[in-house]
Amino acid sequence: MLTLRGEGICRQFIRKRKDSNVFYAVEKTDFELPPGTMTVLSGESGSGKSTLLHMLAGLLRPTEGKVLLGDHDLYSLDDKPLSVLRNRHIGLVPQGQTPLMALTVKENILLPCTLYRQKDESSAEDKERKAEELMEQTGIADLKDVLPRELSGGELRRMSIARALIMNPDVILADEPTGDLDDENTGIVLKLFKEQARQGKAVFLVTHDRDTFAYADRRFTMRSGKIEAVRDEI
Amino acid sequence: MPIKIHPSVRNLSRKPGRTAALIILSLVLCFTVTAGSLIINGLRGGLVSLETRLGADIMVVPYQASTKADLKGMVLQGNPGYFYMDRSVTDKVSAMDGVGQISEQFFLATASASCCSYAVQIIGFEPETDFTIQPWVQSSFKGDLDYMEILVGNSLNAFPGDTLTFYGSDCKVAAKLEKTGTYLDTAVYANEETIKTLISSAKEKKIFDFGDVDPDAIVSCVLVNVADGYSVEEVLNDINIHVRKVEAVQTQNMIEDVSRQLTGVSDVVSGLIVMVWILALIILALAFMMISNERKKEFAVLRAIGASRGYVVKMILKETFLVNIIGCACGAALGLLTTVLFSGFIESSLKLPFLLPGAAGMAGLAIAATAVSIIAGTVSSAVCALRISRMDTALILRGEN
Repeated sequence: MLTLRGEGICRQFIRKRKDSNVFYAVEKTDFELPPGTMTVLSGESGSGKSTLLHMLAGLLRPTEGKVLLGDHDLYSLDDKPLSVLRNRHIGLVPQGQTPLMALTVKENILLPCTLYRQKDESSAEDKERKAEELMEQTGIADLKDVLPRELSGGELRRMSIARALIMNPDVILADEPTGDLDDENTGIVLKLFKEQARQGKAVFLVTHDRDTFAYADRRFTMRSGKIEAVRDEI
Repeated sequence: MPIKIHPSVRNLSRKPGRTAALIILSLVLCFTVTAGSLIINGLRGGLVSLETRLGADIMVVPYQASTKADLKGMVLQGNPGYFYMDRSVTDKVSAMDGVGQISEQFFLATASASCCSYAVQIIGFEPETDFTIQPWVQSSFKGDLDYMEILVGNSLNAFPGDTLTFYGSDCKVAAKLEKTGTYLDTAVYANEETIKTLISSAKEKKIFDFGDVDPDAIVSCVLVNVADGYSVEEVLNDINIHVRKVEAVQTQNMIEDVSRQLTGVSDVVSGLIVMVWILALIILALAFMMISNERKKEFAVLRAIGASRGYVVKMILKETFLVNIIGCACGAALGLLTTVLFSGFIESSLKLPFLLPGAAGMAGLAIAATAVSIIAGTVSSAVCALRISRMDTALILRGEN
């Protein structure tokens, strides 16, 4: 399993303020997601949580520093190898509703498997089986042939989680993964993430949801771009 | 076996309304260019055909015919008519310096009254001297035209073996001629003996005022080809100066009038094509841009799950290519069909020679129009695809873009 870590990463945005034209969404920090751990980052809206997550996902170039996935410096790679790396090793659950509206639930979940020729390995049947399994685990098995417009917010969120897990990634990054879920489904999803961590994956949840804290191996909080470990609750 | 999901195809098939609108746009694009190109081609083909069929440098006609504009009406628009001059004109003209080939023609208009099967122009020619009609006739009819046998133009509803009656005289159709796109398609052709008989019959029926015309002593028109070493203008002037009561007309001048009109019409058609194209391309580009904007979160998700910029561009281009290929194929077929079905209407409303190319030519033109339209339609979306592929995925996923 690969470790994802940010070394000296920070992110500035241009925004007119009283004393400066720039502000730090994420202040300079080292941050690591070790395999086999579930890391939870909480904090107020606008504190920089999603910015950090996107930098770690290879979607937002840091103003300074580098992001390493194993030995690969993500932002030194060209777009294609970076995309392939993200496809194979990073499972991302974005914020909000993120279905491809023309694809069924099952097609949405299987989509990452179709982007590149797979090196290893598992046959189409294995992937199909894995998708069925994930739909079962997330409670959307009976919706596999349904189009996203017919789904509720919670169902869409669970579909997005299943899609992030289909490639069996080393690192799982989830932005508010329980945002639209009721208590029961929140529990199901958090157990699923915890199980992924137990299997050796690095799981990183960015959330406001206090229910997630109980599942965390490590907890951090973020205020005005600064990350602080929450040690006493671990 | 890899898993195959085709988001582009799914996106088109599961959004039928949007897909249909885009297909209609690209259909309009290709219909315009196909129909427009065929019309321009048909006009040019008609002009070339007219030049070939007129085939003589000079037409010598009675003076009144040239001033009454009967000649242009007959030659260029196929209005049935007749005029005669004394046959001695032929001898006078042939005796002049610079006259190479020379041949007589005889015109007779028929009426739509009970006397005749059709109201048409009958053109009589001398098979021994003719150099304008026979080269064309030979592709449809080999052999000699017998007495009371006729050839019919392509637009007439008569076929070999039919009998047509003109002024009470029965004529047997020997062959139907190939299409020229000119007035010649609505005319009937006979040899000199036959047309003299028909003129005599017409005179007896007294439907037209022929006066005391003696069919053996008259001719309608003398066609002249200038001998090598002489200029057309020189011979034309000589005829006009030395032969009385006739007018020698340079056929090229008549064609130039048509050519000028044709250029004007072609310019208008070309202008319309360009305008429709610009409009359709702008609308297509805007439509693709609006659709892409609406779907930008989907593209951001694709990037998030590992799709490269190239994948996103290819996906958008594949969608537009599919839309364009369907729209353009339908547009080309519709353009082809419309132009062929309405070619008669186009010809009569423009009052210009109109000859569409053969099946292979039209198919080639339609394929070229389809290819150009597909390329243009796809290129119009390429800018949008590139823009989308370079968007800030992180900002869109956060809903800030």
